[in-house]
Amino acid sequence: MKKTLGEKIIFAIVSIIFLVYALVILYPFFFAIMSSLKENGRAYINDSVSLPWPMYFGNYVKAFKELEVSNNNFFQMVFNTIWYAGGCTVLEILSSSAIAYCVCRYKFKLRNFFYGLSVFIMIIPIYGALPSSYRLFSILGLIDSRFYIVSAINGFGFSFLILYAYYKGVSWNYAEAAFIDGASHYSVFFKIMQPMAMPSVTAIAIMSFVGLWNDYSAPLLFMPNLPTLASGLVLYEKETQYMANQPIYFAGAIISIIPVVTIFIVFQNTIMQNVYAGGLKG
Amino acid sequence: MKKERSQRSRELEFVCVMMALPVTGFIVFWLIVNINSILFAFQQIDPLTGGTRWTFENFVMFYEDIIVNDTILGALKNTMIFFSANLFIGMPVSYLLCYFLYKRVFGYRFYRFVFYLPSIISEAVLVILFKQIISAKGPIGVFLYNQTGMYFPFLKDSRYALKTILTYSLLMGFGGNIVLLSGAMSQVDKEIIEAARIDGVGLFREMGNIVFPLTWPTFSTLLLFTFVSLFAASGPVLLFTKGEYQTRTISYWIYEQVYFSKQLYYPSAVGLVFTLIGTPIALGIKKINSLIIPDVED
Repeated sequence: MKKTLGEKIIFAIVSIIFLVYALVILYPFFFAIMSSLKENGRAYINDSVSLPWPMYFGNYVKAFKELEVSNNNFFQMVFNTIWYAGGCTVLEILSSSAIAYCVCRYKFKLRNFFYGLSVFIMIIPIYGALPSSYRLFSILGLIDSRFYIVSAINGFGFSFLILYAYYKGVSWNYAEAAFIDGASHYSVFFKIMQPMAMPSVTAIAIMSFVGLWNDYSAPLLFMPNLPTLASGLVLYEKETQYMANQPIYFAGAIISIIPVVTIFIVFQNTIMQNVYAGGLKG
Repeated sequence: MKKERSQRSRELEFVCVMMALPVTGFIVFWLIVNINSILFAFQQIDPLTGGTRWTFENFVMFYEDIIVNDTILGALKNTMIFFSANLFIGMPVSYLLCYFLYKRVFGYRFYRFVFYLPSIISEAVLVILFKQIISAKGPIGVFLYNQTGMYFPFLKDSRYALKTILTYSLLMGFGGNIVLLSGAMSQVDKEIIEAARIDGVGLFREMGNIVFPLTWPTFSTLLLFTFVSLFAASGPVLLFTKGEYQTRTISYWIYEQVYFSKQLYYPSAVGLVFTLIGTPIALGIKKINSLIIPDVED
Protein backbone atom coordinates (compact mmCIF):
# COMPACT_ATOMS: atom_id res chain seq x y z
CA MET A 1 0.00 0.00 0.00
CA LYS A 2 1.44 3.36 -1.04
CA LYS A 3 2.04 6.04 1.55
CA THR A 4 0.43 9.47 1.18
CA LEU A 5 2.61 12.60 1.19
CA GLY A 6 1.54 13.37 4.76
CA GLU A 7 2.54 9.90 5.86
CA LYS A 8 5.88 10.18 4.09
CA ILE A 9 6.56 13.38 6.03
CA ILE A 10 5.54 11.70 9.30
CA PHE A 11 7.82 8.75 8.57
CA ALA A 12 10.68 11.10 7.72
CA ILE A 13 10.24 12.96 11.04
CA VAL A 14 9.99 9.67 12.93
CA SER A 15 13.16 8.43 11.20
CA ILE A 16 15.04 11.53 12.38
CA ILE A 17 13.73 11.14 15.94
CA PHE A 18 14.64 7.43 15.90
CA LEU A 19 18.12 8.20 14.64
CA VAL A 20 18.71 10.81 17.37
CA TYR A 21 17.36 8.48 20.05
CA ALA A 22 19.51 5.61 18.74
CA LEU A 23 22.58 7.87 18.94
CA VAL A 24 21.66 8.83 22.53
CA ILE A 25 21.57 5.14 23.44
CA LEU A 26 24.70 4.19 21.51
CA TYR A 27 26.87 7.13 22.54
CA PRO A 28 27.60 5.80 26.06
CA PHE A 29 28.94 2.58 24.52
CA PHE A 30 31.08 4.50 22.07
CA PHE A 31 32.34 6.59 24.98
CA ALA A 32 33.05 3.45 27.03
CA ILE A 33 34.96 1.77 24.19
CA MET A 34 37.01 4.90 23.59
CA SER A 35 37.71 5.31 27.30
CA SER A 36 38.66 1.66 27.67
CA LEU A 37 41.40 2.15 25.07
CA LYS A 38 43.08 5.06 26.86
CA GLU A 39 46.07 5.03 29.10
CA ASN A 40 45.34 5.18 32.79
CA GLY A 41 46.72 8.03 34.86
CA ARG A 42 46.83 11.75 34.52
CA ALA A 43 46.24 11.83 30.78
CA TYR A 44 42.91 10.11 31.27
CA ILE A 45 41.87 12.01 34.37
CA ASN A 46 42.47 15.37 32.75
CA ASP A 47 40.92 14.47 29.43
CA SER A 48 38.18 11.91 29.24
CA VAL A 49 36.56 13.49 26.17
CA SER A 50 39.16 13.14 23.42
CA LEU A 51 39.67 10.09 21.24
CA PRO A 52 42.30 7.60 22.43
CA TRP A 53 45.72 7.66 20.82
CA PRO A 54 47.67 5.43 21.02
CA MET A 55 45.04 2.81 21.68
CA TYR A 56 45.74 0.53 24.63
CA PHE A 57 44.04 -2.71 23.63
CA GLY A 58 46.02 -4.33 26.41
CA ASN A 59 43.52 -2.83 28.87
CA TYR A 60 41.16 -5.65 27.93
CA VAL A 61 43.75 -8.25 28.90
CA LYS A 62 44.53 -6.29 32.07
CA ALA A 63 40.83 -6.26 32.96
CA PHE A 64 40.94 -10.04 33.29
CA LYS A 65 44.02 -9.84 35.50
CA GLU A 66 43.50 -6.72 37.54
CA LEU A 67 39.78 -6.33 38.19
CA GLU A 68 39.38 -7.94 41.58
CA VAL A 69 36.46 -7.62 43.97
CA SER A 70 36.07 -9.26 47.39
CA ASN A 71 38.99 -11.59 46.55
CA ASN A 72 37.29 -12.67 43.32
CA ASN A 73 39.20 -12.07 40.11
CA PHE A 74 37.47 -11.41 36.81
CA PHE A 75 37.36 -15.11 35.83
CA GLN A 76 35.73 -15.99 39.14
CA MET A 77 33.16 -13.24 38.62
CA VAL A 78 32.42 -14.62 35.14
CA PHE A 79 31.96 -18.07 36.67
CA ASN A 80 29.76 -16.66 39.46
CA THR A 81 27.62 -14.92 36.85
CA ILE A 82 27.23 -18.02 34.69
CA TRP A 83 26.41 -20.09 37.77
CA TYR A 84 23.89 -17.58 39.08
CA ALA A 85 22.20 -16.63 35.81
CA GLY A 86 22.41 -20.09 34.22
CA GLY A 87 21.44 -22.03 37.35
CA CYS A 88 18.49 -19.82 38.24
CA THR A 89 17.26 -19.82 34.64
CA VAL A 90 17.36 -23.61 34.32
CA LEU A 91 15.59 -24.15 37.64
CA GLU A 92 13.01 -21.45 36.98
CA ILE A 93 12.16 -22.64 33.47
CA LEU A 94 12.01 -26.32 34.42
CA SER A 95 9.68 -25.50 37.32
CA SER A 96 7.43 -23.24 35.23
CA SER A 97 7.33 -25.66 32.35
CA ALA A 98 6.41 -28.63 34.57
CA ILE A 99 3.65 -26.77 36.38
CA ALA A 100 2.28 -25.06 33.26
CA TYR A 101 2.10 -28.37 31.41
CA CYS A 102 0.36 -30.23 34.25
CA VAL A 103 -2.11 -27.43 34.99
CA CYS A 104 -2.89 -26.99 31.31
CA ARG A 105 -3.15 -30.61 30.21
CA TYR A 106 -4.20 -32.71 33.21
CA LYS A 107 -7.42 -32.64 35.19
CA PHE A 108 -6.89 -32.73 38.94
CA LYS A 109 -8.52 -31.09 41.94
CA LEU A 110 -6.15 -28.16 42.47
CA ARG A 111 -5.80 -27.34 38.79
CA ASN A 112 -7.90 -24.14 38.79
CA PHE A 113 -6.46 -23.16 42.14
CA PHE A 114 -2.91 -23.25 40.73
CA TYR A 115 -3.88 -21.17 37.72
CA GLY A 116 -5.64 -18.65 39.94
CA LEU A 117 -2.67 -18.63 42.28
CA SER A 118 -0.33 -17.75 39.46
CA VAL A 119 -2.50 -14.83 38.36
CA PHE A 120 -2.88 -13.78 42.00
CA ILE A 121 0.90 -13.67 42.45
CA MET A 122 1.24 -11.53 39.37
CA ILE A 123 -1.36 -8.94 40.37
CA ILE A 124 -0.91 -8.65 44.12
CA PRO A 125 1.76 -6.08 44.87
CA ILE A 126 4.00 -7.24 47.71
CA TYR A 127 6.54 -4.66 48.78
CA GLY A 128 8.09 -5.67 52.07
CA ALA A 129 9.21 -9.26 51.48
CA LEU A 130 12.92 -8.48 51.18
CA PRO A 131 13.67 -8.47 54.93
CA SER A 132 11.84 -11.75 55.36
CA SER A 133 13.67 -13.30 52.39
CA TYR A 134 16.97 -12.18 53.90
CA ARG A 135 16.11 -13.83 57.21
CA LEU A 136 14.98 -17.06 55.53
CA PHE A 137 18.08 -17.29 53.35
CA SER A 138 20.23 -16.66 56.43
CA ILE A 139 18.50 -19.47 58.31
CA LEU A 140 18.83 -21.82 55.33
CA GLY A 141 22.50 -20.91 54.94
CA LEU A 142 21.94 -19.58 51.43
CA ILE A 143 23.61 -16.20 52.00
CA ASP A 144 26.96 -16.22 50.21
CA SER A 145 26.30 -19.76 49.09
CA ARG A 146 26.29 -21.18 45.58
CA PHE A 147 23.08 -22.97 46.54
CA TYR A 148 21.32 -19.61 46.60
CA ILE A 149 20.06 -20.51 43.12
CA VAL A 150 17.54 -22.95 44.60
CA SER A 151 15.43 -19.90 45.45
CA ALA A 152 14.58 -19.83 41.73
CA ILE A 153 12.56 -23.05 42.09
CA ASN A 154 9.18 -21.43 41.99
CA GLY A 155 7.07 -22.37 39.01
CA PHE A 156 4.49 -19.60 39.22
CA GLY A 157 4.50 -16.15 37.71
CA PHE A 158 5.21 -14.69 34.29
CA SER A 159 6.98 -17.74 32.81
CA PHE A 160 4.12 -19.96 33.94
CA LEU A 161 1.53 -17.81 32.16
CA ILE A 162 3.49 -17.66 28.91
CA LEU A 163 4.09 -21.42 28.88
CA TYR A 164 0.51 -22.14 29.95
CA ALA A 165 -0.72 -20.14 26.94
CA TYR A 166 1.69 -22.06 24.73
CA TYR A 167 0.67 -25.54 25.94
CA LYS A 168 -2.96 -24.52 25.61
CA GLY A 169 -2.43 -23.78 21.92
CA VAL A 170 -0.48 -26.94 21.09
CA SER A 171 -2.41 -29.78 19.48
CA TRP A 172 -2.92 -32.72 21.84
CA ASN A 173 -3.14 -35.16 18.90
CA TYR A 174 0.59 -35.96 19.00
CA ALA A 175 0.36 -36.85 22.67
CA GLU A 176 -2.72 -39.03 22.11
CA ALA A 177 -0.99 -40.86 19.27
CA ALA A 178 2.02 -41.46 21.51
CA PHE A 179 -0.18 -42.72 24.36
CA ILE A 180 -1.81 -45.21 21.95
CA ASP A 181 1.70 -46.39 21.01
CA GLY A 182 2.36 -47.03 24.70
CA ALA A 183 4.37 -43.94 25.61
CA SER A 184 4.42 -42.88 29.26
CA HIS A 185 3.42 -39.43 30.50
CA TYR A 186 7.09 -38.64 31.08
CA SER A 187 8.01 -39.61 27.50
CA VAL A 188 5.22 -37.48 26.10
CA PHE A 189 6.31 -34.47 28.15
CA PHE A 190 10.06 -34.75 27.62
CA LYS A 191 10.18 -36.21 24.10
CA ILE A 192 7.14 -34.64 22.41
CA MET A 193 5.72 -31.61 24.21
CA GLN A 194 8.96 -30.10 25.50
CA PRO A 195 10.72 -30.12 22.09
CA MET A 196 7.59 -28.58 20.56
CA ALA A 197 7.59 -25.88 23.23
CA MET A 198 11.28 -25.18 22.66
CA PRO A 199 10.85 -21.82 20.84
CA SER A 200 8.74 -20.43 23.71
CA VAL A 201 10.96 -22.01 26.35
CA THR A 202 14.08 -20.62 24.64
CA ALA A 203 12.57 -17.13 24.43
CA ILE A 204 11.59 -17.07 28.10
CA ALA A 205 14.86 -18.68 29.17
CA ILE A 206 16.89 -16.06 27.32
CA MET A 207 14.88 -13.20 28.80
CA SER A 208 15.29 -14.69 32.25
CA PHE A 209 19.01 -15.36 31.72
CA VAL A 210 19.65 -11.82 30.51
CA GLY A 211 17.73 -10.36 33.45
CA LEU A 212 19.69 -12.45 35.94
CA TRP A 213 23.02 -11.77 34.21
CA ASN A 214 22.35 -8.06 34.68
CA ASP A 215 20.88 -8.27 38.16
CA TYR A 216 23.06 -6.55 40.73
CA SER A 217 20.71 -5.96 43.66
CA ALA A 218 20.07 -9.60 44.65
CA PRO A 219 23.74 -10.69 44.29
CA LEU A 220 24.85 -7.61 46.27
CA LEU A 221 22.50 -8.51 49.10
CA PHE A 222 22.57 -12.29 49.07
CA MET A 223 25.99 -13.12 47.59
CA PRO A 224 28.31 -10.27 48.64
CA ASN A 225 31.41 -12.48 48.57
CA LEU A 226 30.49 -14.24 45.35
CA PRO A 227 30.10 -11.18 43.12
CA THR A 228 28.69 -11.50 39.65
CA LEU A 229 29.92 -9.23 36.88
CA ALA A 230 27.08 -6.76 37.51
CA SER A 231 27.41 -6.66 41.28
CA GLY A 232 31.21 -6.83 40.96
CA LEU A 233 31.27 -3.61 38.95
CA VAL A 234 29.21 -1.89 41.66
CA LEU A 235 31.49 -3.23 44.40
CA TYR A 236 34.64 -2.34 42.43
CA GLU A 237 33.47 1.26 42.16
CA LYS A 238 32.71 1.29 45.89
CA GLU A 239 35.98 -0.35 46.92
CA THR A 240 38.29 1.71 44.74
CA GLN A 241 36.41 5.03 45.01
CA TYR A 242 38.53 7.58 43.11
CA MET A 243 41.51 5.22 42.82
CA ALA A 244 39.89 3.04 40.15
CA ASN A 245 41.82 2.39 36.98
CA GLN A 246 39.07 3.84 34.78
CA PRO A 247 40.13 2.45 31.36
CA ILE A 248 40.39 -1.06 32.81
CA TYR A 249 37.10 -0.54 34.62
CA PHE A 250 35.44 0.39 31.31
CA ALA A 251 37.11 -2.55 29.57
CA GLY A 252 35.61 -4.83 32.21
CA ALA A 253 32.20 -3.24 31.72
CA ILE A 254 32.41 -3.77 27.95
CA ILE A 255 33.51 -7.40 28.36
CA SER A 256 30.63 -8.03 30.77
CA ILE A 257 27.99 -7.03 28.22
CA ILE A 258 29.39 -8.97 25.24
CA PRO A 259 27.74 -12.35 26.11
CA VAL A 260 24.21 -10.98 26.60
CA VAL A 261 24.38 -8.77 23.53
CA THR A 262 25.59 -11.74 21.46
CA ILE A 263 22.84 -13.99 22.79
CA PHE A 264 20.23 -11.34 22.07
CA ILE A 265 21.51 -10.75 18.52
CA VAL A 266 21.40 -14.49 17.78
CA PHE A 267 17.98 -15.09 19.33
CA GLN A 268 16.17 -11.78 18.86
CA ASN A 269 13.73 -13.17 16.29
CA THR A 270 12.92 -16.18 18.49
CA ILE A 271 12.26 -13.83 21.41
CA MET A 272 10.16 -11.35 19.42
CA GLN A 273 8.02 -14.08 17.85
CA ASN A 274 7.39 -16.15 20.97
CA VAL A 275 6.77 -13.79 23.82
CA TYR A 276 3.70 -11.66 24.08
CA ALA A 277 1.21 -11.25 26.88
CA GLY A 278 -2.36 -11.63 25.76
CA GLY A 279 -4.07 -10.54 28.97
CA LEU A 280 -4.67 -12.17 32.28
CA LYS A 281 -7.73 -14.11 33.21
CA GLY A 282 -8.66 -14.83 36.80
CA MET B 1 -12.95 -49.91 34.60
CA LYS B 2 -9.84 -51.19 36.36
CA LYS B 3 -7.70 -50.12 33.42
CA GLU B 4 -9.21 -46.65 33.50
CA ARG B 5 -8.51 -46.38 37.21
CA SER B 6 -4.86 -47.38 36.83
CA GLN B 7 -4.52 -44.92 33.97
CA ARG B 8 -5.94 -42.18 36.20
CA SER B 9 -3.59 -43.07 39.04
CA ARG B 10 -0.66 -43.00 36.63
CA GLU B 11 -1.76 -39.53 35.53
CA LEU B 12 -2.00 -38.31 39.10
CA GLU B 13 1.37 -39.83 39.94
CA PHE B 14 2.89 -37.97 36.99
CA VAL B 15 1.29 -34.68 38.07
CA CYS B 16 2.51 -35.14 41.66
CA VAL B 17 6.08 -35.97 40.61
CA MET B 18 6.26 -33.06 38.16
CA MET B 19 4.80 -30.52 40.56
CA ALA B 20 6.36 -31.64 43.84
CA LEU B 21 9.59 -29.62 43.61
CA PRO B 22 8.16 -26.41 42.13
CA VAL B 23 5.31 -26.36 44.65
CA THR B 24 7.78 -26.98 47.51
CA GLY B 25 9.90 -24.13 46.18
CA PHE B 26 6.85 -21.92 46.04
CA ILE B 27 5.86 -22.78 49.62
CA VAL B 28 9.36 -22.13 50.98
CA PHE B 29 10.43 -19.13 48.92
CA TRP B 30 7.11 -17.36 48.44
CA LEU B 31 4.51 -18.47 50.95
CA ILE B 32 6.71 -18.73 54.04
CA VAL B 33 8.58 -15.57 53.07
CA ASN B 34 5.37 -13.58 52.77
CA ILE B 35 3.75 -14.98 55.91
CA ASN B 36 6.94 -14.17 57.81
CA SER B 37 6.96 -10.73 56.30
CA ILE B 38 3.50 -10.06 57.77
CA LEU B 39 4.63 -11.41 61.15
CA PHE B 40 7.81 -9.28 61.05
CA ALA B 41 5.64 -6.18 60.69
CA PHE B 42 4.35 -6.78 64.22
CA GLN B 43 7.74 -7.50 65.81
CA GLN B 44 10.61 -5.45 67.12
CA ILE B 45 13.90 -6.19 68.84
CA ASP B 46 13.50 -6.10 72.61
CA PRO B 47 16.38 -3.93 73.92
CA LEU B 48 16.29 -5.68 77.29
CA THR B 49 16.43 -9.29 76.21
CA GLY B 50 17.88 -8.91 72.71
CA GLY B 51 15.12 -11.17 71.43
CA THR B 52 11.98 -10.11 69.60
CA ARG B 53 8.63 -9.03 71.01
CA TRP B 54 5.21 -8.48 69.47
CA THR B 55 4.30 -4.83 69.08
CA PHE B 56 2.51 -2.17 67.01
CA GLU B 57 5.51 0.15 67.40
CA ASN B 58 6.48 -0.22 63.75
CA PHE B 59 3.18 1.24 62.63
CA VAL B 60 3.43 4.10 65.14
CA MET B 61 6.93 4.76 63.81
CA PHE B 62 5.58 4.67 60.26
CA TYR B 63 2.87 7.18 61.16
CA GLU B 64 5.49 9.50 62.67
CA ASP B 65 7.78 9.08 59.68
CA ILE B 66 4.96 10.03 57.36
CA ILE B 67 3.56 12.94 59.40
CA VAL B 68 6.53 14.34 61.34
CA ASN B 69 9.71 13.27 59.57
CA ASP B 70 10.32 13.53 55.88
CA THR B 71 11.97 10.12 55.45
CA ILE B 72 9.11 7.99 54.20
CA LEU B 73 7.04 10.89 52.89
CA GLY B 74 9.94 12.08 50.73
CA ALA B 75 10.48 8.54 49.46
CA LEU B 76 6.76 8.22 48.70
CA LYS B 77 6.77 11.52 46.82
CA ASN B 78 9.73 10.38 44.71
CA THR B 79 8.10 7.00 44.09
CA MET B 80 4.98 8.75 42.78
CA ILE B 81 7.12 10.91 40.50
CA PHE B 82 8.75 7.79 39.00
CA PHE B 83 5.38 6.07 38.69
CA SER B 84 3.69 9.05 36.99
CA ALA B 85 6.59 9.55 34.61
CA ASN B 86 6.42 5.90 33.61
CA LEU B 87 2.64 5.93 33.22
CA PHE B 88 2.19 9.24 31.41
CA ILE B 89 5.45 9.53 29.48
CA GLY B 90 7.10 6.10 29.37
CA MET B 91 4.15 4.00 28.29
CA PRO B 92 2.69 6.27 25.56
CA VAL B 93 6.12 6.92 24.05
CA SER B 94 6.88 3.22 24.27
CA TYR B 95 3.67 2.42 22.39
CA LEU B 96 4.39 4.98 19.66
CA LEU B 97 7.91 3.64 19.31
CA CYS B 98 6.63 0.09 18.84
CA TYR B 99 3.94 1.20 16.42
CA PHE B 100 6.43 2.83 14.07
CA LEU B 101 8.73 -0.17 14.35
CA TYR B 102 5.72 -2.30 13.45
CA LYS B 103 5.09 -0.01 10.47
CA ARG B 104 8.64 -0.78 9.43
CA VAL B 105 10.11 2.68 9.50
CA PHE B 106 13.41 2.73 7.54
CA GLY B 107 16.02 0.72 9.47
CA TYR B 108 13.42 -0.77 11.84
CA ARG B 109 15.44 -3.92 12.53
CA PHE B 110 18.44 -1.85 13.60
CA TYR B 111 16.30 0.47 15.73
CA ARG B 112 14.45 -2.44 17.33
CA PHE B 113 17.77 -3.84 18.44
CA VAL B 114 19.22 -0.51 19.60
CA PHE B 115 16.09 0.57 21.50
CA TYR B 116 15.96 -2.74 23.30
CA LEU B 117 19.69 -2.62 24.09
CA PRO B 118 19.28 -0.85 27.47
CA SER B 119 16.99 -3.69 28.57
CA ILE B 120 19.59 -6.37 27.87
CA ILE B 121 22.59 -4.55 29.26
CA SER B 122 23.25 -4.39 32.95
CA GLU B 123 21.99 -1.23 34.58
CA ALA B 124 25.21 -1.29 36.59
CA VAL B 125 27.18 -0.80 33.36
CA LEU B 126 24.78 1.76 31.89
CA VAL B 127 24.78 3.87 35.03
CA ILE B 128 28.58 3.80 35.21
CA LEU B 129 28.70 5.15 31.66
CA PHE B 130 25.94 7.69 32.20
CA LYS B 131 27.56 8.99 35.38
CA GLN B 132 30.87 9.38 33.61
CA ILE B 133 29.30 11.23 30.69
CA ILE B 134 27.49 13.78 32.89
CA SER B 135 30.39 14.22 35.31
CA ALA B 136 32.38 17.47 35.36
CA LYS B 137 35.08 15.91 33.17
CA GLY B 138 32.72 13.93 30.97
CA PRO B 139 31.52 15.12 27.55
CA ILE B 140 28.26 16.68 28.80
CA GLY B 141 29.94 18.26 31.81
CA VAL B 142 32.66 19.75 29.61
CA PHE B 143 30.12 20.92 27.02
CA LEU B 144 27.95 22.65 29.61
CA TYR B 145 30.98 24.23 31.24
CA ASN B 146 32.12 25.60 27.87
CA GLN B 147 28.65 26.98 27.15
CA THR B 148 27.76 28.43 30.55
CA GLY B 149 31.00 28.64 32.49
CA MET B 150 29.27 26.68 35.23
CA TYR B 151 29.70 23.19 36.56
CA PHE B 152 26.46 21.28 37.10
CA PRO B 153 26.75 18.73 39.91
CA PHE B 154 23.91 16.62 38.54
CA LEU B 155 24.21 13.87 41.15
CA LYS B 156 25.46 15.89 44.09
CA ASP B 157 22.77 18.51 44.36
CA SER B 158 19.19 17.98 45.54
CA ARG B 159 17.91 20.28 42.81
CA TYR B 160 19.17 18.02 40.03
CA ALA B 161 19.75 14.53 41.42
CA LEU B 162 16.22 13.13 41.19
CA LYS B 163 15.62 14.75 37.80
CA THR B 164 18.84 13.22 36.51
CA ILE B 165 17.87 9.72 37.63
CA LEU B 166 14.38 10.22 36.20
CA THR B 167 15.77 11.39 32.85
CA TYR B 168 18.07 8.38 32.72
CA SER B 169 15.24 5.98 33.60
CA LEU B 170 12.93 7.38 30.93
CA LEU B 171 15.59 7.54 28.23
CA MET B 172 16.72 3.98 28.83
CA GLY B 173 13.24 2.63 29.50
CA PHE B 174 11.30 3.54 26.35
CA GLY B 175 12.37 0.36 24.60
CA GLY B 176 11.65 -1.93 27.55
CA ASN B 177 8.24 -3.02 26.29
CA ILE B 178 9.35 -3.67 22.71
CA VAL B 179 9.29 -7.45 23.04
CA LEU B 180 5.76 -7.66 24.40
CA LEU B 181 4.22 -4.90 22.29
CA SER B 182 5.97 -5.93 19.06
CA GLY B 183 4.83 -9.50 19.70
CA ALA B 184 1.24 -8.31 20.10
CA MET B 185 1.37 -6.02 17.06
CA SER B 186 2.78 -8.82 14.91
CA GLN B 187 -0.41 -10.79 15.67
CA VAL B 188 -2.63 -8.08 14.13
CA ASP B 189 -4.17 -9.49 10.97
CA LYS B 190 -2.58 -7.72 8.00
CA GLU B 191 -5.75 -8.12 5.95
CA ILE B 192 -7.67 -5.92 8.42
CA ILE B 193 -5.03 -3.21 8.03
CA GLU B 194 -5.05 -3.49 4.26
CA ALA B 195 -8.86 -3.33 4.10
CA ALA B 196 -8.83 -0.24 6.31
CA ARG B 197 -6.15 1.41 4.15
CA ILE B 198 -8.25 0.76 1.02
CA ASP B 199 -11.14 2.46 2.82
CA GLY B 200 -8.88 5.49 3.27
CA VAL B 201 -7.97 5.10 6.92
CA GLY B 202 -4.91 7.19 7.77
CA LEU B 203 -1.90 6.32 9.89
CA PHE B 204 -3.11 7.67 13.21
CA ARG B 205 -6.68 6.32 12.83
CA GLU B 206 -5.14 2.96 12.01
CA MET B 207 -3.10 3.15 15.17
CA GLY B 208 -5.90 4.45 17.40
CA ASN B 209 -8.91 2.59 15.99
CA ILE B 210 -7.44 -0.70 14.78
CA VAL B 211 -4.02 -1.57 16.18
CA PHE B 212 -4.57 -0.18 19.67
CA PRO B 213 -7.87 -2.02 20.35
CA LEU B 214 -6.43 -5.25 18.92
CA THR B 215 -3.34 -5.00 21.10
CA TRP B 216 -5.29 -3.79 24.13
CA PRO B 217 -5.00 -7.13 26.00
CA THR B 218 -1.20 -6.81 25.95
CA PHE B 219 -1.18 -3.07 26.60
CA SER B 220 -3.66 -3.44 29.45
CA THR B 221 -1.50 -6.20 30.95
CA LEU B 222 1.49 -3.84 30.85
CA LEU B 223 -0.68 -1.14 32.39
CA LEU B 224 -1.75 -3.54 35.10
CA PHE B 225 1.89 -4.46 35.84
CA THR B 226 2.69 -0.75 36.10
CA PHE B 227 -0.01 -0.34 38.75
CA VAL B 228 0.99 -3.59 40.47
CA SER B 229 4.44 -2.08 40.98
CA LEU B 230 3.01 1.32 41.92
CA PHE B 231 5.01 1.66 45.14
CA ALA B 232 8.02 -0.13 43.67
CA ALA B 233 8.46 2.53 41.00
CA SER B 234 12.05 3.70 41.13
CA GLY B 235 15.19 4.38 39.18
CA PRO B 236 18.59 2.87 39.91
CA VAL B 237 18.98 5.00 43.05
CA LEU B 238 21.56 2.68 44.63
CA LEU B 239 23.86 3.05 41.63
CA PHE B 240 23.45 6.80 41.26
CA THR B 241 23.25 8.39 44.69
CA LYS B 242 22.64 5.67 47.31
CA GLY B 243 19.57 7.63 48.31
CA GLU B 244 21.40 10.87 49.02
CA TYR B 245 20.27 14.30 47.78
CA GLN B 246 16.60 13.45 48.34
CA THR B 247 16.46 10.65 45.84
CA ARG B 248 15.12 7.85 48.06
CA THR B 249 12.14 5.88 46.80
CA ILE B 250 10.08 3.40 48.81
CA SER B 251 11.62 0.32 47.22
CA TYR B 252 15.14 1.71 47.60
CA TRP B 253 14.45 2.67 51.21
CA ILE B 254 13.40 -0.94 52.00
CA TYR B 255 16.49 -2.29 50.19
CA GLU B 256 18.71 0.20 52.01
CA GLN B 257 17.30 -0.83 55.40
CA VAL B 258 18.16 -4.48 54.73
CA TYR B 259 21.43 -4.02 52.84
CA PHE B 260 23.11 -1.35 54.94
CA SER B 261 21.39 -1.58 58.33
CA LYS B 262 20.18 -5.21 58.38
CA GLN B 263 16.85 -3.86 59.68
CA LEU B 264 14.12 -6.45 59.15
CA TYR B 265 11.05 -5.48 61.16
CA TYR B 266 10.30 -1.84 60.45
CA PRO B 267 10.74 -2.17 56.65
CA SER B 268 8.39 -5.17 56.74
CA ALA B 269 5.73 -3.01 58.40
CA VAL B 270 6.22 -0.23 55.84
CA GLY B 271 6.00 -2.82 53.05
CA LEU B 272 2.81 -4.25 54.55
CA VAL B 273 1.14 -0.85 54.67
CA PHE B 274 1.95 -0.18 51.02
CA THR B 275 0.81 -3.70 50.08
CA LEU B 276 -2.52 -3.01 51.76
CA ILE B 277 -2.89 0.27 49.88
CA GLY B 278 -1.61 -1.11 46.58
CA THR B 279 -3.71 -4.28 46.44
CA PRO B 280 -7.16 -2.67 45.96
CA ILE B 281 -5.66 -0.27 43.43
CA ALA B 282 -4.19 -3.16 41.39
CA LEU B 283 -7.41 -5.16 41.63
CA GLY B 284 -9.42 -2.10 40.62
CA ILE B 285 -7.28 -1.58 37.54
CA LYS B 286 -7.65 -5.25 36.64
CA LYS B 287 -11.41 -4.96 37.00
CA ILE B 288 -11.54 -1.85 34.80
CA ASN B 289 -9.32 -3.59 32.21
CA SER B 290 -11.60 -6.60 32.05
CA LEU B 291 -14.68 -4.36 31.74
CA ILE B 292 -13.17 -2.68 28.70
CA ILE B 293 -12.31 -5.98 27.03
CA PRO B 294 -13.60 -9.15 28.74
CA ASP B 295 -11.10 -11.89 29.61
CA VAL B 296 -10.50 -14.17 26.71
CA GLU B 297 -8.53 -17.11 28.14
CA ASP B 298 -10.12 -20.51 28.61
